[in-house]
Amino acid sequence: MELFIRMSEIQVEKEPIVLKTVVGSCIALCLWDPKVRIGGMAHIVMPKKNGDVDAPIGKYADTGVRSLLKQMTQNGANISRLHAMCIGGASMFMQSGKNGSSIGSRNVEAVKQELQVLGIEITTEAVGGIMGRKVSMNCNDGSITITTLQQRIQWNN
Amino acid sequence: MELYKSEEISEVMLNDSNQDNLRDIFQKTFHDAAKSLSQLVGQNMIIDQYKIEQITSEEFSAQVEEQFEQSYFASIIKVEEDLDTNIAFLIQEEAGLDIYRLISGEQIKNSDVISENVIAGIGEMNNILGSSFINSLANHLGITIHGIAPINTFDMFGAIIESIVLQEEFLNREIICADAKIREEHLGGYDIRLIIMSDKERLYHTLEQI
Amino acid sequence: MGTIMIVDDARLMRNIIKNSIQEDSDHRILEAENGHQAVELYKKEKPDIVTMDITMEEKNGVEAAKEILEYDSNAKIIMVTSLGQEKLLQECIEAGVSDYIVKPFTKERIISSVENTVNQ
Repeated sequence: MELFIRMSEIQVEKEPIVLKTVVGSCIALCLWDPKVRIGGMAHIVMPKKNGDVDAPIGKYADTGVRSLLKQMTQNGANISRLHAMCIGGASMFMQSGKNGSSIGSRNVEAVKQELQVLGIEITTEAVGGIMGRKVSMNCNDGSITITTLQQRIQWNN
Repeated sequence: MELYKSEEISEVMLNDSNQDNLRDIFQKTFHDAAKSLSQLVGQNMIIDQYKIEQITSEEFSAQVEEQFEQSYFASIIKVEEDLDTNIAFLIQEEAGLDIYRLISGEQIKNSDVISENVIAGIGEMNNILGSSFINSLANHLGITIHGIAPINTFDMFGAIIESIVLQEEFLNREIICADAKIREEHLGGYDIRLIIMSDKERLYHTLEQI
Repeated sequence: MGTIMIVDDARLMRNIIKNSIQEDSDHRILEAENGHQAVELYKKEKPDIVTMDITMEEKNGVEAAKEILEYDSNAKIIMVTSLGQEKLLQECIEAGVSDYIVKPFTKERIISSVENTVNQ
């Protein structure tokens, strides 16, 4: 069975369920505990909460990472065993970034900072660039599939 | 899946005095853009359905999620100083290649590899469409609008949508989204989308000046 | 309005947290200087939220948080941590604390953490 994770959504599953999403500048953060075979995915949209009081908890890197982690531990995962996979954070329209860094790169930085505080190492990372990514994770075996259209484009040079 | 109901107007906007105004303006503007596209491809392209609504990024994204994995050619024009608006043209892969053949006369095949020339070519068409749209919008609003040079890409629908809705200028703001589908009058078939995301306050402010 | 217990061995830090919270709302504030006091005071006053520093002498924040959660599994505890305390923070999260803030933190961060925890 496949479950699509929308923007700001968080899902944790124990069964051989495949969690999937498509990200551009957002981050698909996937956590997996190999011992209890629990997987979780958060579709993080922005780095930090900023006045947006009614926003869903999964929208921001700080609250999103916490909430995903909490749901994982409540279901029996152990933080020191976790595999963390960070995918996304592209800057698709780089030329348009007028000041400073893009939302994509700030998202990557914010998620990494959160993981660093928690002492969780990133085991797989596919971030940055200018193209979107399709991500799917099998919650039973922790396998991750990342697809981009990059290889379908032949660039002139 | 049927995404559209013709001329569907969201409930949220029904009591707003600007709503009729806005709907008229976008409708005219969409028609003008379709007219330029018709001239470009030598076929009669019409606005099939369109809707305009006040919506959050998440809501908009959830509405279109069934197409998220499909590949699209896209071109986005940002309008900053005059109006915080993103104008996006999305053409589904096969439709884009069909139209490219019509415009360029090149007999390219549907294949796994999309050359940068094709992306640029379709981008160029989008630019013409975009300029015509911006000119039309400027005329109807009675203001000058400067678009920033368009950005062209070929990517998954979901990733493109993310980059349209997740812009600094839209964060924590109310957004108006106008979304239209274009098709050939008799043949149908082309899946072309025009999506305009605009900051509600600035759009209304501009409308009030008219 | 609720009762918030601030646990930290440094008075300066307690004051920073207290001032931040009081600027935003009129919560009642209790203070404890170490883990022992924190557990005792928790049992007596049943505060709605606890902010708990991790490193303290006479029972550190990890032990105190665990004891409080054993006594009351619905206790809402926000850990105050800093970089380099990953293992201790992991223990607290697995024990079921509600949230954590990382030093140095902003006033807004404390307020939003308290608000989020209240609404949990």
